[in-house]
Amino acid sequence: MLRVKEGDREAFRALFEKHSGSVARFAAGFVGGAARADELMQDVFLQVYRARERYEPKAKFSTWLYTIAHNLCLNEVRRHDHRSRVDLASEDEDAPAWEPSDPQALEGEGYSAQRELEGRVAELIARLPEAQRTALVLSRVEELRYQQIGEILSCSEQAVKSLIFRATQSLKAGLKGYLEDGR
Amino acid sequence: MSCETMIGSIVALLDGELAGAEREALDRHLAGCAACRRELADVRRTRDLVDRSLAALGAGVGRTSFEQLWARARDGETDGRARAPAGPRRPGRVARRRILWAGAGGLALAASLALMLVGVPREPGIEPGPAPATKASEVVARAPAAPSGPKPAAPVVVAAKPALATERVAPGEVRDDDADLDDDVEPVELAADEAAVVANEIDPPRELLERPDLFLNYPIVRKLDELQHLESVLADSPDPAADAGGAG
Repeated sequence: MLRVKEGDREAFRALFEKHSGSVARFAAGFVGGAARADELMQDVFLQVYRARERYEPKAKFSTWLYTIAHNLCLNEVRRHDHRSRVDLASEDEDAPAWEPSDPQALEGEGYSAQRELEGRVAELIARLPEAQRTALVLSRVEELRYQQIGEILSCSEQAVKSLIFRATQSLKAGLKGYLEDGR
Repeated sequence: MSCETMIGSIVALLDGELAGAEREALDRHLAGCAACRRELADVRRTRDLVDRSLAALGAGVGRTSFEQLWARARDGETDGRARAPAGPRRPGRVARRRILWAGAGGLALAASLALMLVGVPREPGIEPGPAPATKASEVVARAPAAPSGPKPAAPVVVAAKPALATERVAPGEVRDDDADLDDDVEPVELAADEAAVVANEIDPPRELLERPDLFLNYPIVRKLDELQHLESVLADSPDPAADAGGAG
């Protein structure tokens, strides 16, 4: 990144080729789809390039990179009111937990049933509050340590632990029917 | 160690973030608690599903070439549409708001001067007073008091609170962010709302995240704990039918 700061195009290419896939996967997980993920990834690297002269190596480059990605993804979902576009089930606590349309098909892992389940999980992830969603996606997609996630979210490791725990509990509750069928 | 305490560490265990005494305590608890072992199994299955879903979402990405990106980067610098790379930085959101209101204050001053020159009559007994009280989060440009001397009072501008401080985004509200990228890309923090936190519609406030003893008392966790504890108690209880059969 210090070479990029000096205008080294090939250094910027190297950073792009090393990190673009990860950033795009993070964006896809955060906004709930691949369609906008590539554009967001480009926006992240454009921001990196434009801010290159102010870059200071105070922390890992990936921490800085994911901080930018996190903020841009937040702006994206807030700008387009992302949550309102997800076909949300009732938030009523008494509403029945989601049940797979064909539990036997899921056990046999038929293709369409698998897609249904993955879609359900993506929907649940999209419903998570923002910090929980970020912590969960960074942990699962990029396998970042809690400490680094905390640096990105400007919070402690304990807070990251709490965020991921709460996110997992929400997802588990939303998949209760599937989990019970599998016992 | 109670189940309530242990459950909060199960995910961290799977993430490899537990070590030392904390890890040993959880391992000992799991060895003797069927409910927590079921919780561990459920969390593991949930995470597997999350991993598969995220992998499916990310399968179609990464089609942008470096040349495409570089072309956008150069376009942004050569035509100056996105930003001015040389010269003073474009002010951030808060600074732009202050500039806007400072400009409004200038207009108010000019208007007052114009009124003074024209000599608009005042109703007897009504003195110009301060502007109405405003909310702390609002920015106001107060019109200067009627000048009694040659120099008019300067307008008072109350600066807006920084955008990062407790500015609530209402559900469904779309923020009017600038379309182009800002140097100071900072998200707006949401104000804490207990009911929404309890329902897990928004993230808990930071202070709560740092206090697991409080955090774990929120109903979303307590209900799950109570359910699992009840299941554990029932599983461990002797069969009432067997006892009744032996009664004399």
